[in-house]
Amino acid sequence: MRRFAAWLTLLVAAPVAISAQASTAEALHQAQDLYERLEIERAVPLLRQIVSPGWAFEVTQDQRVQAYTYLGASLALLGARDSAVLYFRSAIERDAFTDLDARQFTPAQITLFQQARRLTFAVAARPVAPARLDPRTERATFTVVTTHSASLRVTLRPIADPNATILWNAVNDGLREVSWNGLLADGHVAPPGRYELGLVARSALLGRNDSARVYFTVAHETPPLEDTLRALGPDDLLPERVQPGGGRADLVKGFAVAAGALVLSDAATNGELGRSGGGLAVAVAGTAGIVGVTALLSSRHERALPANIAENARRRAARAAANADVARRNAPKLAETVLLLSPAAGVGP
Amino acid sequence: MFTPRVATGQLRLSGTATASLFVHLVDIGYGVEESTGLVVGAEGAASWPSRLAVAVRAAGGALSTDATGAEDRKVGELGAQASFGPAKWLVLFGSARSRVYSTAVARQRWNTVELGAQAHADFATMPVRAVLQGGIFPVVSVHELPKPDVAFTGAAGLEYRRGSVTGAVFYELERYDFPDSGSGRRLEQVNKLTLRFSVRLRNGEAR
Repeated sequence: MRRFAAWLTLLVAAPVAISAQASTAEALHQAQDLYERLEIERAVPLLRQIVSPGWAFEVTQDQRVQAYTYLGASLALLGARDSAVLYFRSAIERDAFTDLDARQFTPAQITLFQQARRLTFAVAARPVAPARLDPRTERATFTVVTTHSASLRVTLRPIADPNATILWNAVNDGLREVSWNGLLADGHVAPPGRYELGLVARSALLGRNDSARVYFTVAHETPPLEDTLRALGPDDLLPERVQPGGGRADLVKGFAVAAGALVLSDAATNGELGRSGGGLAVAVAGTAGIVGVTALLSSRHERALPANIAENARRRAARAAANADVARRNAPKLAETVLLLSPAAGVGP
Repeated sequence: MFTPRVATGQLRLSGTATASLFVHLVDIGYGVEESTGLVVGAEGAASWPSRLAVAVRAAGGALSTDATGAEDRKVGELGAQASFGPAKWLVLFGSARSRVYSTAVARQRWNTVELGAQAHADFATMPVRAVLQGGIFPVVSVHELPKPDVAFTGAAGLEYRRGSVTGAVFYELERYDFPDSGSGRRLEQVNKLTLRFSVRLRNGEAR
């Protein structure tokens, strides 16, 4: 009888005037106030309006989940157990992390909520929070949930790599924090890029499967590294073979030096001081001329230049040794790499 | 003068020994005084793959003369140079030098600043480099002498490279024409035949 009277009150109670409400948030706040003042018969119609298709304002996922939760809690107080479980399930299906605070809800409500969790199977993961992770000493934490007991497998993989690292593969019931040390399955530090945290679970009660994915990016923060030497280009190496035409160019170079010395000693000097330095210039000019002619004569046939080959080998070895030293000095800096985790939307733009 | 540099390795150090046949010509209005002698020197240089190089050098020797009324003299000098190679075949440099001529009764210090350029070309058939160089002296400071009207330098020579060792022969000219300061024009000139022996010491680690 009391239940009938309560239902009659709900049916005939005038809907709360909401002319002053400008948004779903205000309506929800009002409904929550009514609930907390135990004016359930006024809260329920308001909550039903919020979740109805005819509601004129936008309802976010979180607002809908909150409305379903309070609807379930309200109907539980009114004794409408089945309806309460129905609305609790609606909330859980939309957000598997939904739960009732034992400090704010009665044991009866909580019991009905737990029943709803057993009847509903869903798995979810919270969005990855921005974090700074030193793989040497720290762990990143991912928060996941199954609505009831299920075999849960949590994997992590780079978007472009099908090979995944298993973070958790066991039975789970409820909320769980899964840790990650920043390394992939091969033991290397996760390279920069976009990653997928994948969840696959199979309900132990219902025999149903569910899955979820969240994405995040990994960036590296490394102490400044030393640059290696650039590759040796053609300008950095000496010719290793004499080409028949090369001697003519060398002859010109030799004669240019000879001419330069003679011009300096003749035209550039002060004639009033005499030409005492002329002999010195002639010595250099003669040397340069002889070297030029020698170069011309030695280039009549193509041949290898052992001196240049040896010099080029020395230059290559010097570059390799220098780069090896750079790599050795960079190694401890790379070991200090810190991972920067941040949430991402999907597999990429 | 520069040892051949290669764009490999990081900091490169080299040491050079020089020996010059030094011919010093001076005319202060009473005829040409010629002093000749051997001047030996040493130089240390550091260069980077960025084609920047710095060098410090010191030299000294004794010059003898047969000119009437002239005295034998000693010459010593200290200098520093910085250079940059904007192209593979070209080096631009600036240097500062202090040279002292000393006799039994007098000393004359020459402080100069030189700005110059060097062009060089490697032979294709042998490990030889042809070098031509020229420069001006925008600063020539000599006690009780005015600023010269003409002050320039030039050099021409060859470098032969074998492994980490380089030998070179150069003809060098320095010319200074001072204005008439009332006691006649002063003309000075230095001709040098210089032999250089350089060793590339090691690749240093740049910090």
